[in-house]
Amino acid sequence: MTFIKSVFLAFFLLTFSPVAFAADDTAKAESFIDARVKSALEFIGDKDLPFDEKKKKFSGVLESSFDLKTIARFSLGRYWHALEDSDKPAYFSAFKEYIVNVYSQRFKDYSGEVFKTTGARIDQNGDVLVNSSLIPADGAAVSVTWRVRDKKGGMKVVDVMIEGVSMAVTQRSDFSSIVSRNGGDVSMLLAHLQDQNKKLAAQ
Amino acid sequence: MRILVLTFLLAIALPFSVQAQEADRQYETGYSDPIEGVNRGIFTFNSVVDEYVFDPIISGYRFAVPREGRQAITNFLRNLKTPVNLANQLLQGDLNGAGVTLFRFVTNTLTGFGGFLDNAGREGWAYEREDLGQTLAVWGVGDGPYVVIPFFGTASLRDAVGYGLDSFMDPINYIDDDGVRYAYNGTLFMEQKNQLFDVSNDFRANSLDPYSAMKSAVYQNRQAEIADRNTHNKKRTETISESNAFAIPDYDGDF
Repeated sequence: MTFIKSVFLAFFLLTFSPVAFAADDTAKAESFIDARVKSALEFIGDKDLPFDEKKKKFSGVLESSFDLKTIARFSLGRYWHALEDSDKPAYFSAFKEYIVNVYSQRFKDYSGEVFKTTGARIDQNGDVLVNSSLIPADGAAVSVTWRVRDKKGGMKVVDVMIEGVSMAVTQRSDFSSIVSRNGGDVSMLLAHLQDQNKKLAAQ
Repeated sequence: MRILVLTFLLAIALPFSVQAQEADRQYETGYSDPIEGVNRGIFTFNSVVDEYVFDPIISGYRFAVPREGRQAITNFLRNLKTPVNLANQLLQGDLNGAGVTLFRFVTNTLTGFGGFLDNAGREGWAYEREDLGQTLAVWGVGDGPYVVIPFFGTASLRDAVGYGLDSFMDPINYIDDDGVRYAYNGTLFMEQKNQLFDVSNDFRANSLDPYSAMKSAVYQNRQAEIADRNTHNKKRTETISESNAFAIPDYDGDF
């Protein structure tokens, strides 16, 4: 009987734990994003720091503040199941390298835009969505929304939406198109990712 | 007893695995693309034309005209677009938005040297682009197939038709002087290219399949734009996140 009880308990915990984010957690998530992004923008905007150093620092921020495994897994969508177990570590490290390469390129365009969080709320999945703006000296602000999840190791970002465009969803469209155009062969995606990394790292 | 427990566990586990499968397919929706082969061909053509014709022009423009000057031109063109934005907002029944558009027009025309300065935007009354594509969407017209238009770019069929018809709402196109109309539309076209310059170059340089990545991004951004229709301008950022609240499952156990 105690076994059934514990099953019930586990069931309830499973069902309701995503909603465990309490009201003050929205404020916590907002200050988490505020602090992490601002400290990242500091080294990104540092004109004396060499590009390779910025890249290394960004890689560290990515590891500590993003739920990279979830993002990597999500980006593969249903083709995840077609990936050989032995290829998973290679995919994950290629994915991480790819993200670091792509965003390091994007930092080159950073020209002192001011970052400001503008509020947060809990969505129906239990994540906190933190809204923010990147405000240039003149011209229109860019709206950026961060999906923050309370994980065992602390808060992690699982998606970033820029002007309504989810980076994770766009990544998935990109990746799954490569796989389906190669007749469902996931190993081709891995090859493409590694090629692209070589190309981007050379820039 | 054991069977009871087993059934119970199965009852819990089944919906979870179905959910996981759904999450895997959920976001593959987007524009339908029945003429993908043709579209990809035109997409490649456009990329070449951009690279060799339009990108050098944009780069030259950016080199010659400082940031503030380019922003002033953007502001001025946006101010001229007021009749189109206003008409569409009224057609969508978006009275708040129409009020903001009108307020912006009066403020920027009077205090911003005829629209070169966006003083209203600086006070939080941000510019909102409205077009017939969005109006038709509000009226319930579906996206239709995805199309890539030579020289111009990508859109759903509904939006492509909308962009075309928008020019008929623009009073400037009724000025009886070919020179004015050509200059105006040419400038608008290049302004559009200028706005998209960074994004399309980013896709071309970084994506594994720029065609698909772009299609997905255009779709998502469009959904966000359409969803903003009935909210107050200042709440814009919230609406955008609201409309694209993609659930992302937790995959900790998958590695």
